[in-house]
Amino acid sequence: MAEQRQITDDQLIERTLAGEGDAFGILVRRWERQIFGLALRVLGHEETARDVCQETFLSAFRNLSKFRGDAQFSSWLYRITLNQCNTHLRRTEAKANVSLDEQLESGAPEPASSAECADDAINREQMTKHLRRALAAIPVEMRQVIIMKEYEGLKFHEIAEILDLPVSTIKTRLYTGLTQLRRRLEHVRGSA
Amino acid sequence: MSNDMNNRNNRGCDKQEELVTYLYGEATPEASRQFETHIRECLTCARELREFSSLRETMQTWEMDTLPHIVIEPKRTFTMVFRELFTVTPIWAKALAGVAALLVFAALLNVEVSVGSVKIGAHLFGGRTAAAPVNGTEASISREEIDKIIQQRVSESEQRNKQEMFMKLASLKEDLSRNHADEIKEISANLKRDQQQQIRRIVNATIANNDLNFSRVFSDLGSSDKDDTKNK
Repeated sequence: MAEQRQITDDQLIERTLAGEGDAFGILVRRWERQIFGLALRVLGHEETARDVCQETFLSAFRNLSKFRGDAQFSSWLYRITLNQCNTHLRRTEAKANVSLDEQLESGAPEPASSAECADDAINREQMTKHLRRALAAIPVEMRQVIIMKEYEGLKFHEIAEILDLPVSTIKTRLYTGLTQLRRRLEHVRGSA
Repeated sequence: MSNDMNNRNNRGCDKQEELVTYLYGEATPEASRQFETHIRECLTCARELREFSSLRETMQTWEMDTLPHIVIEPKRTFTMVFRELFTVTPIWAKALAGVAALLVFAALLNVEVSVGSVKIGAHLFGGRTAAAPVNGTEASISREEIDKIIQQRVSESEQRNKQEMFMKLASLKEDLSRNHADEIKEISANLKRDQQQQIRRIVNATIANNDLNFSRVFSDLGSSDKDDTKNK
């Protein structure tokens, strides 16, 4: 395992292209958590995220010979994931596009009861639920940036490279996204 | 983008980019100092920084507790399998395979390599039967000669087939005529037997119909013989 960690992504890619099937398996194990996390947070649905994760790695495998070493493998993988997510979102646009009014009516982040406040775990679970709903409700281009920044811990220039956009645009999207998210969660967080 | 503009206008401060850069710790030390100086004077930015920091804490509640097991089984191409096989095969096996491949190739081309008295070669499709040695020495046979040999073999085979066919036909004819004679004999014997039976039936029927009394007839015939004798 320690030996596997020492091998770089580029070396594993070379080995895969040389016909060593297990090399790609190591790449999958190395990146599956991040890719699944990104897909799950962008899509908000575990089964779909799992499908996207599978499709991402299969697509990466099929197109591995086209991968140019000028970008990081992870950036390339993230880009494939986001493209796959966008494809899924376009397919289910009607379902996925939840308006704020709709959310406030159905999602109804109710003030937490005193019993729930006493139980941190439940409170945390409730908060996660509201957070997921609020994230799903903001435009996908902002959601992607927030997730990549907050959960994947990517640098601004890395996100810019993945999305092929200027760094300033990424920062603006992050700021706007955070503002919208705060607005959607302020009554929940205020009561909690 | 219109949202961005609205936010920019509503805030009354254009330090959003600096704010998020500082918030996520990517500002240079100089930029950090400048922004820290700025938020001492700008209440809007100071408030947003607090709220965003709090929001980030909230976002950390969404942890990835479980990761579903993902199995990616890329379909291996023939080339990949071949390469993998080549990698794991020992050198002696590779050499053996190479020699075998050369032999097969030589056999396909009907090539024979001779070094002094040692001859190495292989033949597929019975290649040696056509190229029989002449007077104990290997001779190359031209295409015309091969064609001639083939034609000769074909005509011999045809001749042989014809003779066999004639013999079979003659034997068949003989069998047929013998069977025919036997059948004629049997039919004529049957006919004779039938005719005799028929005549016997007719005679019996005639006797029964005319109520002939053979004893009287014979006695009549006897008395008439006596009269004739007397008259004589």
